[in-house]
Amino acid sequence: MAKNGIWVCLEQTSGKLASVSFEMLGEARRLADTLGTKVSAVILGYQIESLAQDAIAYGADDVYLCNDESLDLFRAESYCTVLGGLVKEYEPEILLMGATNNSRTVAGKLAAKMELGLNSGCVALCIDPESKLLVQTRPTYGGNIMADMICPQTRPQMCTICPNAMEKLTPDSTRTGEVVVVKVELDEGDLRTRVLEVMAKSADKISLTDAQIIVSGGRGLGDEKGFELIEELAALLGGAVGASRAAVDAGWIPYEHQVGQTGKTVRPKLYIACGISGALQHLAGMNTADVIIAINKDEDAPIFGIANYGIVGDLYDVLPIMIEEFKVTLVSV
Amino acid sequence: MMNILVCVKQVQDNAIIPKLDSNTNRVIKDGIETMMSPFDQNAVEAGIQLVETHGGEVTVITLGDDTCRNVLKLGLSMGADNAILVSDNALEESDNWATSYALAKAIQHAGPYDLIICGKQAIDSDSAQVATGIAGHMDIPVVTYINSIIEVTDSKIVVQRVSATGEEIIEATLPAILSCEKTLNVPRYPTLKKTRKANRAEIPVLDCVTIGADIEKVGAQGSPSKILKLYTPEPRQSGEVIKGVAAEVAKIAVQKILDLKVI
Repeated sequence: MAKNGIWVCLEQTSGKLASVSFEMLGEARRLADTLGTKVSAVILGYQIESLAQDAIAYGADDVYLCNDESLDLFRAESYCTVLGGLVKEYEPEILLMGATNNSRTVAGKLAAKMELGLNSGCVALCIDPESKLLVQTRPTYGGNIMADMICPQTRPQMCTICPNAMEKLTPDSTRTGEVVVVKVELDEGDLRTRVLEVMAKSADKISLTDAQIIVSGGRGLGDEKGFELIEELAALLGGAVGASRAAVDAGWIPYEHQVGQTGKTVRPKLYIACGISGALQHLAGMNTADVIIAINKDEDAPIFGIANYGIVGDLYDVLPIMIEEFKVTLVSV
Repeated sequence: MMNILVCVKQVQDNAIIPKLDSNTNRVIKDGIETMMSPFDQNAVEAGIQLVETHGGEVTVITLGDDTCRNVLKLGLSMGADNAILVSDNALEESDNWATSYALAKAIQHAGPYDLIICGKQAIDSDSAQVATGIAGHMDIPVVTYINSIIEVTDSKIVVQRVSATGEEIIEATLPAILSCEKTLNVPRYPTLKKTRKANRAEIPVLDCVTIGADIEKVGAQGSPSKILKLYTPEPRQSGEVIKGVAAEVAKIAVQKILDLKVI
């Protein structure tokens, strides 16, 4: 029996919660209902009071709010110290964090310091009916092997959760919960890292790992101008632009767009692969998309082996017509 | 002068689909081609570049069985000065916690180092926990996902890192540990001369007793995270193939997308 509940450490930047935060709350709610325990959200940052109600609306029973100027900008060190203090004090049974660059860093350091088992990048969780342990499912080897992991001895059982892997709840603004304001006592003199500058991405740019729709281009584009079509379709669909390693290595588009084993792993609802043959290392980054549509001239391209819909044709013929069609239909809706 | 340690991992060649041994429920490693995990190559390159600028030495370290000498030799043939193999039967099947614990102990034994550099993650386990784990065990600052090293002084390092919402410039006191993005640099190829030298290099092997690692805390038994089971996911099936003139297939594609109701 889980006595001290399920904790979700929410991820926020500049007062905006990352979507994985809501997804974790939804999953935590389901697990808590199975175990008969409660869901607590932890939020670290500055001027984040309003996020507490969001957390409750999305499934938290209570919120530990760590609101302090020293937590304004993310630092692994300060976040780890504050979260570690809370974990020690309240002894949660389970601690979920986002499998994002920031939260993975805090989780890894915290787990080492506190001698906790940690499994990164989980895509499914369940409670073992007999042992009541948290079974943490994570892809390894680029998703070619799945691993079911447990942390039988250490508490909290800790894992980081991939964006887009779990379902958020429909928010209920009438839900109520306690907000515990945590006194943050950090001495800047004890900290060994400083944030000198932050270069934020423009807010309208959808992050590839969070995107529900991704339009991706590969070697078949032939040159960098091909990405103008990819970008146009992505913008029209409200999606993000992805790329294969071949397109990135050719210098047609920056690395931050690369999907695959040495790029980003994505789990969108829709992935449109244009001129991508489907090399193993690319598939490793996107083969868990809900629906894959491939557009390729080569009928034998491996991408067609995993695509829900395989469009055989020249992307330079097909994409402009698709773009025009969407302009008509999406405007008329 | 900088004394730099780079952690590298030998992984299965990423052009090969891993297979499970049905008896042991573990990934078959015998006879499989290996490589240095790609991001670790960036870490080695970063170490070599820093030493080229500031002077000092680069040591590559790995944890694994005797076959992992290969990845260390690769590091030496790229230009690292020394190599260390942490190896002990007791370390087999260590999880991320136990691996970073043993590496931290080895680093404390072999060091001190000014800077420790890792790849952002290994491409087999995809955990990204070893750099942060070493930082936790050694209680030193960690800056992850760096894509630029801006400045190094005797006591501090300034780097740029990537987060989900942008990039940031971070200053950390030394000793510190970094984890590298692919965009940090372009790893150099080994030279023939250095490869020959690497093949002759004596690589010291450190076991648990030497580094002072508690064998109760490592291996399958000592690891806090346990494998319940490994399995191959259901292969994705191919669906409908749509052929014809561009105008027609494009319209069908648009309709299929609209029917998904994700827009």
